[in-house]
Amino acid sequence: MSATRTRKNGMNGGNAVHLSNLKIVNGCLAFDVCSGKFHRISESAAFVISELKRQTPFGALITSYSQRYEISPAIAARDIELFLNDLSVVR
Amino acid sequence: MTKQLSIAVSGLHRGDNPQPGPAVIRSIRRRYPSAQIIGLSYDLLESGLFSKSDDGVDAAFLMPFPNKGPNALIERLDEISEIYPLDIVIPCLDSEIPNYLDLSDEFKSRRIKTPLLTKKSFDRGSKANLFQLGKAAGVRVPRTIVVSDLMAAHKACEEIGFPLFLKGKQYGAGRVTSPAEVAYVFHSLMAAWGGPVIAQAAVLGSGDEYDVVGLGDGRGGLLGSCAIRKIMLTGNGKAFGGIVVADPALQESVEKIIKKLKWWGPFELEFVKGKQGHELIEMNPRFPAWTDFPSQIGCNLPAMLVDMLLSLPVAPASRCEPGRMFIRHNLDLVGDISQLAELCSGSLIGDAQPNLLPSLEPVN
Repeated sequence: MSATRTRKNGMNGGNAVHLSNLKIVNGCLAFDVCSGKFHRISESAAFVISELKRQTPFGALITSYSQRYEISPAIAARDIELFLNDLSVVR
Repeated sequence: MTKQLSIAVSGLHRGDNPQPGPAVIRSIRRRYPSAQIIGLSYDLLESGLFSKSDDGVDAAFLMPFPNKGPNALIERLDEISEIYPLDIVIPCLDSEIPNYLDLSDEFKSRRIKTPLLTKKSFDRGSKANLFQLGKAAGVRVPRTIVVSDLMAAHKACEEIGFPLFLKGKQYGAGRVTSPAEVAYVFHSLMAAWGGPVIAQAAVLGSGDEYDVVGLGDGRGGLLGSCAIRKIMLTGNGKAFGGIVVADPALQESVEKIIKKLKWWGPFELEFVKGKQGHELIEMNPRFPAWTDFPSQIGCNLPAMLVDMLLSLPVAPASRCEPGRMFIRHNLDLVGDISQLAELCSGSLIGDAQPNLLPSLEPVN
């Protein structure tokens, strides 16, 4: 499991983040158009956010994430859950 | 042949607390490149006097300080008009606005256009009345108490609770964290700006600061606006960098205030994000120092103000794209003692002409 995937994805403090407000810039910055905050993010975080914004079903996201990073679906699911937990508490 | 448009602008100093004048001038020149810009200055060393760039002035005049009152102002403007007949005057400093409001009839009789803000709107948007305005408009404003003496200041601070801010009527503010600090901050503000002093609760939350510049149509509508989050601050809390945001809640607060006031002309609204959303901490009745940033991305509010003053059709400004940002960049301007000598006589006419950069292209 890569440190990049499981780290806290560079999200720092801010206001509540809504996916619809997040714009991924050059695959390395997440810009919240509503709060004006921007966060440096990993490539894997950018991938997850982009898929979620595309409303990719969770199951399909796990599949594509596990294939992309060549990890098991179980680890992929955990990675994504952890990331979403991180995202939900960013304020 | 059409007469050259002559526009007087004040607030020319771009120091560590930059004034809006040069930004307003630069924006106007984007739409009106041949306009003759007359600088109204209060000091020989206002930095804008020495700019040879697109934010420079074609001529400059020393002005009586605003506390000399409206008569001194109109007398000086009459003297200037004898040399450069003025079409428009755009005051860019808070302390100037009351005199301009008092002189609205004088300006009308001289056919000089100035922003048509009403005294009523101005008073309702002042620091002292902001809390009541917020209540009436349905916009959150930190609790505010207006005080005129030290005893009342202590009482107000106890009532509001620490930490809080003590603010001067027009300028200046100090954070007060304990009763021991009240007297020092209160006396400093009284000495610098006179009374009353405004005690305003601190906003608890993320502390993120948001600024909105806009232009009201005088009927409650908004002709254009640009909202930023301050991403860099100077030591005294001024924006040194900002990024455009598109927050519907913030926009709604702005629209409510402008609608309630039926605001005419330029304004700046300052918000802090608290636990329960944006709280309005200040309203300024003029363009902010960063007003040329939106002008560069298609929202040229100073040029629209000139259109309004000339009774030209005004199309609503373009929306500023979230993510566009500005960073302030200070440069050294070259002057000469001869310019100071000329200014000592009250005006700078021979050596003020800017060499407009060919890169200055009208954006809108």
